[in-house]
Amino acid sequence: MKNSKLYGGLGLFICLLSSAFFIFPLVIMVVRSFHSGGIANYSRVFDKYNLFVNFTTSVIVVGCTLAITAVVVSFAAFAFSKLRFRGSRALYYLLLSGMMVPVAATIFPLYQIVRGLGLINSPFSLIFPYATGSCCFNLLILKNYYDSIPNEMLEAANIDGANKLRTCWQVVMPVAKPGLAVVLMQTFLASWNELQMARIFIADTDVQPISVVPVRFAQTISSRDFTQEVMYAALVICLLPIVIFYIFAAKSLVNGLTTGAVKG
Amino acid sequence: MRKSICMALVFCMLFALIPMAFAAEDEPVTISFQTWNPGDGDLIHQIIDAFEAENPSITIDYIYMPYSDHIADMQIKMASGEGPDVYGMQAGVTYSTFRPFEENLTPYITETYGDGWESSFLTFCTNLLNEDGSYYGLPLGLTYAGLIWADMSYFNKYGLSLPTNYDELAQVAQTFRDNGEYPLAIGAKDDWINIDMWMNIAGDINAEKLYAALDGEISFTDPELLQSFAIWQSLFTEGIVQDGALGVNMYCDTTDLFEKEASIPMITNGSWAAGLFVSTDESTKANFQGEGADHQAFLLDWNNDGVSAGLAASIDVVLCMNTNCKNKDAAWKFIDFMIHYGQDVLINEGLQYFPSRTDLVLDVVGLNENGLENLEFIIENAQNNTRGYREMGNADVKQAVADALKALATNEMTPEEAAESIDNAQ
Amino acid sequence: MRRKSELTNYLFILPILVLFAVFIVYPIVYNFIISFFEWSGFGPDITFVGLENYVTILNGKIIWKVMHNFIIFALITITLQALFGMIFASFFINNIRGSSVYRILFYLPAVVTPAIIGQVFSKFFEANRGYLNTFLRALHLDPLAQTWLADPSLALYCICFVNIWQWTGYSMLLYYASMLNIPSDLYESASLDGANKAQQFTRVTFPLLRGTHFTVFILGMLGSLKCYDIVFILTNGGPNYATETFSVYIQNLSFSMFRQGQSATVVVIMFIIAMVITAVQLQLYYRSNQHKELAR
Repeated sequence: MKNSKLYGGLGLFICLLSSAFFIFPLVIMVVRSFHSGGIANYSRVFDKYNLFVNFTTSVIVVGCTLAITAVVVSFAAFAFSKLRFRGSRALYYLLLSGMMVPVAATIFPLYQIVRGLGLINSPFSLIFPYATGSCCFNLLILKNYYDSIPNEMLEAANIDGANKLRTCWQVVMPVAKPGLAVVLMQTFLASWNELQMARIFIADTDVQPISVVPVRFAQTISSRDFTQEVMYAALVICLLPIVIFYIFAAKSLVNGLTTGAVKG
Repeated sequence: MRKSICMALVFCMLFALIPMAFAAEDEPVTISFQTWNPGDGDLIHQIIDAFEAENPSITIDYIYMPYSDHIADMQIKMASGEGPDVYGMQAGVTYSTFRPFEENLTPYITETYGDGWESSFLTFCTNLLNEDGSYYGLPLGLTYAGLIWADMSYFNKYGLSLPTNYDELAQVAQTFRDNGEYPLAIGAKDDWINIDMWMNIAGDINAEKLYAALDGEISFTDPELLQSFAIWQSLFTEGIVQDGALGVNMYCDTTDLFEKEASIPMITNGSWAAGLFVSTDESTKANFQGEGADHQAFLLDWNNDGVSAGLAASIDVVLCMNTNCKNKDAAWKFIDFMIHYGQDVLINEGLQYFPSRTDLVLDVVGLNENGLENLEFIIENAQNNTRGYREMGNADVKQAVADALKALATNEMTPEEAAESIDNAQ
Repeated sequence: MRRKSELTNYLFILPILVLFAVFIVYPIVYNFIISFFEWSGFGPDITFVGLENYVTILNGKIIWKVMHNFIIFALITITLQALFGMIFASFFINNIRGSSVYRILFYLPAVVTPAIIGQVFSKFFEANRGYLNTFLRALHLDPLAQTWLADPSLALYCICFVNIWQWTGYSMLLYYASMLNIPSDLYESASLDGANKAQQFTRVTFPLLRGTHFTVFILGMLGSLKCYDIVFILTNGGPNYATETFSVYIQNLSFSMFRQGQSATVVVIMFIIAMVITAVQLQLYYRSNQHKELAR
């Protein structure tokens, strides 16, 4: 009994300390942003910048990436997990190896393609590369998830006369929703925060995704008559969308993990 | 009857052609202009508005980008056959690297300015940009590197006077440190300021040897050059520059401290900092134009031989035209406008550069006495005390020097090793 | 019939294969080819130089610094993230008060845009007026106040610190999800056998987390290999290559040095290293998996 209390107390203490550790930079940022100016710092940012456009770009890029990823990876994971075809193991590992490719390696050659398709400075230049990048990792996760779905379900559907597509779409995918939720969350975060490619493919500061805007802030605060505090306010503003999204979605992310796990 | 119909038809055609002839002249054209300098302030937009007012059929699409982004962006775009129509370029390595995409401007220049046009630009500029008789860009303005700027309020506070040589600098730095202030501030994370300061030191000791070594004619292990490395190293090991200098960059980590916060006594920078005296930023204005503001730009005698260092000159922005440009005549008009009207405004209202044209009259608007003092100091040294160019032409050597200077600063290399590493890059 | 069935199976993976071919395979092949040439990246002068780029890069000092940094960075970050991840996960499994709140908080750093958090950390680590040193000096711990990111011997550890701050929550979630999978009867029978909490952890929990260990390790490896954002914002590989990573090196060669050929060479080297590590990992995993199966 005593042991348990001690353990509980220790755990609480460590967790509180760790919370402080994980939160402190964000606290610094918010506190600093209110120094010498208060809320006026924030209105200053809105005066000089139209962040709404940047935000829209981010939303478009990430939204489309999610849509494409969801469809492509779901089908692929289903195929690798439940269907049989020659070379599936080899192809699977080949696709996983895509995770090893650094973004820096792809920028140059991809730019040629993106230009050829006429997509420069448009959100679409980023969508396909992002979708591909996330597909490799998500394939791993989703396939493992599909693996844990019992095959009896498929057999039952077959008996009912459903073909592969229908089985996948109507039977398996709904069950795999929690797994898909995890995949989508990951993809959302990764593509929302992506810096390297976004910086180069959408170089026009006015329409850049919000992940790149802070870098420009830091480099140009002099010319914009910003003080450090106003810059912090700008950083907080850029961070707000993703944090709000996260706080709302976090519950379903964890649920997604746990539901799937318990079921397995 | 037939004849009259024919005549009527001919007249109709002629009439139809006339508006076409006019239309060809008035067709609206957009020229994209991309650069990191002159930044994104009010002045450049003012200049662009003036140009568009004079040339209603030409619209300028201005794209501002910080320097490294600008270069990376142009690289990628030009490789795909695109890129901005007019762009800013730094003299030196990038000017030669981007050559395949720099339109040869000589025909435009000779057509617009006539023969003997070179005399309307400073010889330094024409020499630097001349590539076997052809010019691939025009200079927007000159800047000079190697200065140290001081905020005299700190000197006055501790009863110190402006150092004239290395020993005095060391003493002053120590006094500042003892009192909890920054000594000399430098954003050593940025390679360019390190190179500027070291070239200033080496140029003070022996400018001829410095430039000969950069050209590959002599070795960097020459004792006088080794001395310059040793002095550079001592700035860090003796604490003459602030702690953690290697972890901060110039713009804006370090410059903000000097310009906006006025919280440090000395900073290494160049002649472009003179623009602070006419800045529109509130805090900078208060610090530089307010009552009792006293800042001094100065040069140091690094090797205590009685002769102070000189300046290194560079063309801050070279305006080039993209070979991919589809409206070259319009682009040329804009370049011409920038070099003349634009330069006038940027210099006389913004003090962003020093003139590259010989016919530009320096008459800076709204400069206070302190600003005027510094301006005169810089001009005098520019005319009589310039030791050579600022921008190196060889990318390998430049990188080797940058790396060596950082290694010296972290005490991971001796001056001899540093010299050897640069020699190897030649 | 079977043939047709197989063909339609391939249709399911067609979209992903197309994306993969265009956006992953093509760049790798492109880099592989370019690594044998010398090219500024956009001029018309492309000269074939064979293996010269490889010789230059491998003879240089930077690539070895990069590999050294990679190994240290990977070991430190993976170990500490896994360790803390497991500790936190086990707290949550045991339903410490406020678990659900802590879970959200601990994962929050992983959500934060690197560009933003990088700014805050660079102000944090600044030697003269940064938050960390100011804090230390206020506590009269002056000797502890270092130059952090400006010190070649400390900069890499600072980067590790930021990385651990960012991604521990992620490991935690992975371990937590796996731990949920462990049936509680295993713990019951273990405690019946007289095992205390610690022993239960080492004998029951830890081994059963094998799959997650593998995932955490492999992801950590690949992440360390590709690490860019934080390094770029905080140090850009400095001071003097003390924090240089593959991605930073590649970017600089491409866009600051105008050396496409050499940049492509580093890409190829990096890719080979990634493949080797992954292959070795997979071998280890499956071999011991086989042993486990045989043992049953």
